[in-house]
Amino acid sequence: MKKKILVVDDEFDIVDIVKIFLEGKGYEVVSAYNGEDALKLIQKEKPDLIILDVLMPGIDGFEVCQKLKSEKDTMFIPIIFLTAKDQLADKWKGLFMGAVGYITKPFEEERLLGKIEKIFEQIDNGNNNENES
Amino acid sequence: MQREKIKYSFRKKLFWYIAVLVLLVSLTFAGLFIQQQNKLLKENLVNKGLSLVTNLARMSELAIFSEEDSFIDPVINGIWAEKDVVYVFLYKDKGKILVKHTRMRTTEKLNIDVKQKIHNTREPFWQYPFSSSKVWEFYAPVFATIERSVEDSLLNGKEKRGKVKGRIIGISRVGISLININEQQKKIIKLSIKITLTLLIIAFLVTYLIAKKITTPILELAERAEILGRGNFDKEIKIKSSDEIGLLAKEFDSMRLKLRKLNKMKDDFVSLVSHELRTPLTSIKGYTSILLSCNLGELNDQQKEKMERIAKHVKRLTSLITGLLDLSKIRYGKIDYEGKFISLLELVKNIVEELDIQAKDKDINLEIEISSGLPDVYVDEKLLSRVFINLIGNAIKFTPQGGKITIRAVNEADMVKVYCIDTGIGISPADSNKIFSEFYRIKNKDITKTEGTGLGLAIVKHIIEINQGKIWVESEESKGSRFIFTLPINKR
Repeated sequence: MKKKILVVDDEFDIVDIVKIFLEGKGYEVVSAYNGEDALKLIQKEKPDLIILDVLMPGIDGFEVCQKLKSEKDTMFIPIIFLTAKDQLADKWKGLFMGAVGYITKPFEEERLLGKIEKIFEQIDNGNNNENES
Repeated sequence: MQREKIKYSFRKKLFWYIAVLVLLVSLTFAGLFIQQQNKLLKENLVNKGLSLVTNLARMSELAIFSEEDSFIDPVINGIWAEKDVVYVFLYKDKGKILVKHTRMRTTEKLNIDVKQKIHNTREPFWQYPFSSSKVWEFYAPVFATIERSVEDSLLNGKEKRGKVKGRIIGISRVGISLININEQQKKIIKLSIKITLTLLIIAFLVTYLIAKKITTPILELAERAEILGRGNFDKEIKIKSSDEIGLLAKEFDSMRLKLRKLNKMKDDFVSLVSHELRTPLTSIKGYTSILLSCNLGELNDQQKEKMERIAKHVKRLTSLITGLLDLSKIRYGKIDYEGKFISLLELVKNIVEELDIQAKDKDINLEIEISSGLPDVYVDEKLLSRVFINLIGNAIKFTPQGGKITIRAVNEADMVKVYCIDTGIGISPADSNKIFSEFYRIKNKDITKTEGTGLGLAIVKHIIEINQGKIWVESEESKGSRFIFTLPINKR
């Protein structure tokens, strides 16, 4: 089954690029352009991974992350931040909130892909291990 | 703070100027004082001697006439009570000694020249018998003041010899030793020396204090200027002084505020522009790579080539913007410095491994000459990696096919000296001063093709300076370059 990835960014271009790129790599991509839409979409679509911008009007990326991590059925969805905020403090903040990755713009698509593949690999391994034991 | 040692400090200079001046002035005054006192002492001595000898002469008339010295005993005793009087003589006109008191040996006979002089001048006088004499002599004529010779009237009862008034009937002589006055002179000299020394000490103290008062705020200002020079505009320059230096400090501080404002404007501008540029750049980059990855359908060769060109320029623009942002972050201390002790050998090995592919493309040999015994250095690993990547990257860029690049590190006193030596095209002396400046790129027809942002070495320099090191380059054109930097081993 195709993995489902949610891309959230207030910039159409970023969503567009990531969507095209990841679809090309065989993923199913859904998109949202602000925090509120993203939260609604997550309930409906139940994505396997979320790529999240930080600076957005309304609910920002950090808040979205916090909300997801505080709810039982969404807390295990891995989150990768993709943002222009390049301060080390922001990176730590993001990672402390439970994100599995923090990638700054401008980004290398290959790096994003590498990160995503690694995360799914780990999740699959974990599931396999659970099944085995 | 590292301040250059001042060889001839203002404090020392002022001190010595004033010292010499005070010494000259006090010596002059002491000399004048001693001279004046000497003169006064001698005058006093002469006055005293003359008054003694004249007094004696005046009182001696009767004694000479009667040849009875007991008449003048009280006078003689009075004179003799003066301790510096060493002899007293009273002569009758013919030279006969009538009174003689001595405390030292001397010629008792009346000198014929003296007698002559007295008779000629009829006045008291003084002399020193020989130049180095320790005794001054005073003479005075004894005049007859009564009309008639006592002698005659007593013996003959007749006025046989006529008037004798005004006739010199004897000579009084007093010798006064100079010992007393010599002692007083010594005392005066001692006093002068004491006063001079006291003045000197006071002058030195005052000079030192004044110099200190002047130089302390100047040194403080220099220190602040140095801090300012390092790009720290936040420390207020405040010197409590209402004089010219205070004014200077005030002007300096307003300059600092202006600089800070300008600097902030520049920073804000750079970071705004960089951030604003990054957003569209991200889009361009993303779409380019999507088109190139053929997710939206195959491109023909020509289209693909043009797309690759776009991608290349986008990459360059990205690294330029990233470099600018990094530089402003590093320079203004906004970087998150994560210092720890690391082994240079390990770090360089990793980086050389990474860059080896690039080097192999140009058939360049990368060599590491670092002893495993080299002490660890306290640096930010990420930043120092940037230094090596930039330096070695440059070396690869500017070294022709088949060259060699050597990374060497040696321990020297309390620091590690790192060399990055290449066999590249080298740098001209004119360029070697400027290559660490932002956006400076060497103008050379051989390297117009070479890409770069002109920021790499500026970043390197700032990183080395953050780590309290220094960097410089030694080079000869067409023979290669040696970039050398130092890192302190000290613990922070």
